Amino acid sequence: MSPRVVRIALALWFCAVVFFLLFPLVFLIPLSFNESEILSFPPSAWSLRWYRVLFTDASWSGALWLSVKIGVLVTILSVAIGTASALAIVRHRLPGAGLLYGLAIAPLIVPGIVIALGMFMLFARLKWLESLTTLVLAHTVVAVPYVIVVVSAALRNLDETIERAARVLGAGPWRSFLLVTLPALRPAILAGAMFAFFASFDDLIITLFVSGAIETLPLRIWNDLNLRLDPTVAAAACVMVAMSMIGLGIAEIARSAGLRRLRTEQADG
Amino acid sequence: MTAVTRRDMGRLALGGAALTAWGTSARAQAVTITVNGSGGSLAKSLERIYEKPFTAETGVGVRATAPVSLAKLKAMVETGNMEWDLTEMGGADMIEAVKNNWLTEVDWSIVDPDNKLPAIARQKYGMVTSTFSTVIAYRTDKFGGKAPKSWADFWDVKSFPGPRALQDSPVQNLEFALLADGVPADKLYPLDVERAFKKLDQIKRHVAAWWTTGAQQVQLLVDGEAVMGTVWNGRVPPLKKEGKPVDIVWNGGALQLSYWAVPKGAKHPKEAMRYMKTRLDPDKGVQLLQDSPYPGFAPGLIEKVDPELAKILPIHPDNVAVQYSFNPEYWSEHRPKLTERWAAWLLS
Amino acid sequence: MVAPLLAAPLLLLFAIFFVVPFVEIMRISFSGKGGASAGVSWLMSSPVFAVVFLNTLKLALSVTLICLVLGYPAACFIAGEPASRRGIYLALVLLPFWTSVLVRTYTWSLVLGREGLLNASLIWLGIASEPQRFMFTPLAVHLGMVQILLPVAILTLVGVMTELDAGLVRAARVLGASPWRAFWHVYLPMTKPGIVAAAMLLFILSLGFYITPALLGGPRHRTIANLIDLQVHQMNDWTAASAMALVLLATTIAAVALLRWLVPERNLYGGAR
Repeated sequence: MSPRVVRIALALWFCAVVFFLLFPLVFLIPLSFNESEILSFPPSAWSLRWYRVLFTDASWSGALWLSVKIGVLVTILSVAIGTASALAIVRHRLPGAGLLYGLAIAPLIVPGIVIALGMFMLFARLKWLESLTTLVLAHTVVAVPYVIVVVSAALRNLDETIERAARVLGAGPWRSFLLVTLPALRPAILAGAMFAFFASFDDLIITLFVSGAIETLPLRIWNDLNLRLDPTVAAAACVMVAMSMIGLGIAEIARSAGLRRLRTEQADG
Repeated sequence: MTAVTRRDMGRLALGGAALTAWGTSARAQAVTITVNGSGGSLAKSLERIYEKPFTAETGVGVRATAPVSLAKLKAMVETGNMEWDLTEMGGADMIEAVKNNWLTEVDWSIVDPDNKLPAIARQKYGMVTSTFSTVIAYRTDKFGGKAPKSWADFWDVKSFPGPRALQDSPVQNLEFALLADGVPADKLYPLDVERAFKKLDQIKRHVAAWWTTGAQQVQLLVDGEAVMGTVWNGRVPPLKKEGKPVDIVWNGGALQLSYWAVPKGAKHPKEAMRYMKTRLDPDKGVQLLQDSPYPGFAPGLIEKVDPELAKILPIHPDNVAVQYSFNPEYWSEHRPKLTERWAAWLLS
Repeated sequence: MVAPLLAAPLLLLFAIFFVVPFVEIMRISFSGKGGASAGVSWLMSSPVFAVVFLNTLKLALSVTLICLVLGYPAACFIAGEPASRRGIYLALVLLPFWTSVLVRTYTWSLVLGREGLLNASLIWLGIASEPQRFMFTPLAVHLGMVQILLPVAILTLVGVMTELDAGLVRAARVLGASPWRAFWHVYLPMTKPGIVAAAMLLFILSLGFYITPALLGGPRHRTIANLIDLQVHQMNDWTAASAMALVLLATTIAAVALLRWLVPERNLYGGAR
């Protein structure tokens, strides 16, 4: 079994996993272009009807935009707070680090409805309901644990001697963090950031209680689910997937252009 | 000190905003009421038919929120922070709310001064805004031209073979079982629980799906997961029109009421009740029925509706005659115990 | 000195937005008639709580294991690719996240339904003569949940694998270890923190699932989250809901503590550090 064979086997396995993950999504395309009132397959007639609803009905487009906005804010907060806490737990031997870690993952364990009710009771007294700030901070509570779990796992794996070497060679704690620790943590932070974003983007139950009249995308879908779910949800899903693919494409083009420029400069130099 | 200053500044900023609003809008809105409903795709119709005209006429703004939630109502009452001025409510929730003293009495001299509503729609703590029915729906293409006509047929898996779908709840399913077992519709309550569960035992293994959300009901039928199941009456007619092979049986349906109520601690109860009054307008009622076949009791509504549409309404006389009227009092009292028993029965 | 400062934002946020609300809801739930004993007696007398709780644990455990087994090789593949290409692979894995859990769950009924793709294929291939039932079975619930959680497994593992010292594995190979031995004795132990973190996240997240089991499973797949939701939304019984939440919290924290005791956070390389 040569390493080459192992690579090929792993690549095939990966392809199979991606197929499994994406295969159900392929159905969303015909569903979203279906004329019918109901999600049905195969479509009886094709139409752009539900895309029109998505973009012209403010309750859909507004909810979509709001969910993205809240998600981005929550991600930024979660990454900052979560990475700092992971450092405190793993690196700085904070007394009671185990307890802190337990507290940090508790919001994932306590059922959403219970914590949502508690938040409602408290924020109602404080008159904090129906504020975007409250909603963002409430989402951050359920998003931050992902960052902490992923980043602290990566920190535990990181060879501390490199950091120490940097310190010995005269770098301050801040510089050694910035130049040594942070780059090594990048994949983990990225993973945590993605989780944090989607924790907020897909949250229903906390939003349901804390938001008042603020309607996010999951809330909009939920309100339909009680009575009638029409293909607008499929259209919304397709738009989100398409947008993320376009964003990815742009980032990829920008990156490879940057690489090429770098190579040219190096060649020139 | 700082807090006070900041709050004052906030007030100042708010005042500024109000002044600007005064300058730009032709008519300043003194009061905005918050009306909580089911939301979803119906919200747009409600805004067009009821909310906008009401604001234009009275200057009172209407802000719609969703969804209907008894837990949220309870939380609001307990914290003394009532966001809603008016909320939609189902029958059993309504009784629970009355029992716990969470609602304000309706001032009928504001809502219906001329006493035009039928007595059933005028209740102490709420007004009936809509009626709906849980009925049998079936696939018209699965029984070789035969059509089920009753709950007995629903239970008859020999003549009407194929998987069934029921709600994951004892509410109404116990009634349906008793109807299937031959209990007359007017003798259902109080329910013979033992007899109902015994009858349910017969159908249990033929039930492929126990639905939990409204959207699932017709989906299960259209996807072919079930050939017969329970649905709320409103979803099937549009699908039938679209050519999907589905139809409903009114016989043995559970006729239910849905209410509007003013919660205790609402900030603008008077304005909320003035808004309730808009539901007495039959012309608006007819408009709403185009989008949602769940009529209220606006006087003269049925006469104004297109006869074809009237036939698919739960309160059409022909349909009323064959349904039973759902008893929310019974369920409010027995729901906790029966739901536990139901869950255990499903798991056994 | 830095540590308390680093942890301060988290503590502040959690104090106001998690601890106080949690204490508040517990206080309200257990201050009614009967108090805490009402909650305990509900737990003891409920005919369904114990069964549903056990079913939930079993479901969470099997979903966690499946995700780890499927995700580990996929994560190995991504981690072994050059950094410039990893982004693309991770984005592919994350693509499903952009659609709500609800919609992703629904699409499975198109595949698994009586008139769905799988049945159509089986009949076309002559393997089955009539539609088989796949919906509302353990298979459907597991497929649905694994599809949602697999990206979490992969991402968490990749986060740890990419910063491993590949030189160690190479050294083992140079010193004559077979690829299998190099993997088993060097690579796998090095990825342990990732496996532990992923297992923990997956287990905790699967415990909280309720939409997917409710839409794809039968009554036997109702989870503790379903039961809590039912108590709050339909039975108006916050005491029972809070009691169940506490049991869930205690069990999960115990499970996490057990996992971390079995796999201590220090000395993960068998004393290499």
